[in-house]
Amino acid sequence: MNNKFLYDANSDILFIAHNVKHIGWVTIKEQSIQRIIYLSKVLYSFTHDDENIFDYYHFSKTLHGPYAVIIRDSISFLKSNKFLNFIEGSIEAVKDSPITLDSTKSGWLQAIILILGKYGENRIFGFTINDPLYKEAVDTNSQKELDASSPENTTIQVLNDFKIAFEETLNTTAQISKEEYLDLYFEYVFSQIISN
Amino acid sequence: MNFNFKRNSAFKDLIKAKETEIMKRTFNSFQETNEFKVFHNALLTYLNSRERQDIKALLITKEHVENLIPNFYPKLQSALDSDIGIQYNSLILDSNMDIVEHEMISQKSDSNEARKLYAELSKDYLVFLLLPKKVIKYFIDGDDFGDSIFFTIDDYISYDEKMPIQRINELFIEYRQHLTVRNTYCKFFISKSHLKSLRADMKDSLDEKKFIEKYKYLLQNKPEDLFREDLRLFLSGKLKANFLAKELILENFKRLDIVMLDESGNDFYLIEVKWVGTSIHGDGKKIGTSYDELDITPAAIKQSVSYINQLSAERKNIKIAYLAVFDAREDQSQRDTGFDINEDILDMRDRKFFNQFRKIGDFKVKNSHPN
Repeated sequence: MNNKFLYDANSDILFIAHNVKHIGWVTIKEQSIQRIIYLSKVLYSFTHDDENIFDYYHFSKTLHGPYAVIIRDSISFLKSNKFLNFIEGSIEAVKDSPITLDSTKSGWLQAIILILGKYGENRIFGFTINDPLYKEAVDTNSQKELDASSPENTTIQVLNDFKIAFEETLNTTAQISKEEYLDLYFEYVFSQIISN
Repeated sequence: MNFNFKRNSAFKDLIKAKETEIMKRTFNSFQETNEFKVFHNALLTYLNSRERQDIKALLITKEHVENLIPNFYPKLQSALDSDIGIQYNSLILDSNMDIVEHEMISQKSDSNEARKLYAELSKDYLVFLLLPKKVIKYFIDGDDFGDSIFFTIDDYISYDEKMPIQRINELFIEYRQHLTVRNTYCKFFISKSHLKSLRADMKDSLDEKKFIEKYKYLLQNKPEDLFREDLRLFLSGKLKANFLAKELILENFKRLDIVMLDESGNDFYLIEVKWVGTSIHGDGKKIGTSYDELDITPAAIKQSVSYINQLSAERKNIKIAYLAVFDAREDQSQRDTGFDINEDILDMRDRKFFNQFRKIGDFKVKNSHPN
């Protein structure tokens, strides 16, 4: 595996493990990290015009949702180097572990954490298994890597349609930021989960 | 889940109906700041970690929220868990998460008068109203927020009150009651009019009334689908769990009947559904298949335990595999199927998984009053 990619993944994971403490999550499960990073990658192009900055994660479909091997490897590395503690199967970031992340990446990871934080860690799973790109792979029984990098992936297309529906319906939408659309979209998905 | 937002008039109607709320929410910029979201999320985490039935107003200025101390959550927790934090229903916090003022507001905290008071106070402070059932409403600059655009607080509470999967055994008890309701059990059995035509097809000499009484226990053709779907529908309405679609199940497990993951997507639970009794033939003109105890013990039990073995081999976090047997036998006084089983009936390689297997007491289905 490319060391640069592992290094990048280490920084992302340490950032997430530290950052969730701000919203009261003392620890976080590996699966939640997989899911936060997947959503960060698949949603990235909705709010950003540059190339996907998470392209070193390669997600495949599993019963527990999207899964990237590099995340497992990175967590093992961080654990063996004492940057992460394991407490009853969950991960806790050790104080003062080094995090080097550019502002675009840290800002985006934090935005996703704050959107998900409204629902709690246990409910992240519902958002990943109901993600349009993941669902498409399940419905078509695709064994390929989930194409989360593409700015035209299924999830982005759905989000664009969601935004257009607002634009075609409301008198003005100028004040609705892309992040607010994301927030509204997650509310919509959650409303569907709880109504089932 | 419906992701078709193009030409979706129902969705657009919903947005239109919520236009005022959407405008109010997206025009108020403070709640879109990271600082607000962090503090709001932290309060939600706190509420989720406690069982409180009281109503409490937390007041904090925007400036203090913008300047929260690093790692403020443990201090927020301590403040709310302190004697003052518990005893008083109105607290003013600062950025250090110290309670700088506390008060008892005498009005009912959820009354209209209180709402007006909080709206007024929110011109100077952010006001977070912590409500029972882990719900937060908040007031900013004289406006109140709380309901989502796409679901109400009541929808959320109903969902949150669903049972965690660990309490599924309680639902099996409730399901037995559900099976005694005529609208439920009737769909499993052939109808009275079908019984009448069957009598003619079988050229049976019994009079119509006696024939119906004798054969009213006859199940529909392939009743396993009806039983499985009824149980799945019942559980999905009451459990906080994810029911996996067949398409998600790995190739080897396509025959698994009900596969559930707990809310966090970590633990697997399976239910294998079988039945005993007699069904009508596919052509509807003669008696069809019959299953009895011998089809359950050992075959169905061995099959269910072997699934645990296979899933464990694939490192799936399988917790419990249940075997649910619907008993529609004519003689309902027979003892439950799989009664008194033990691991000796299993292949050696499966025996160590027997502790994760549960045979549910039979679900008795009786066509007491045929339709």
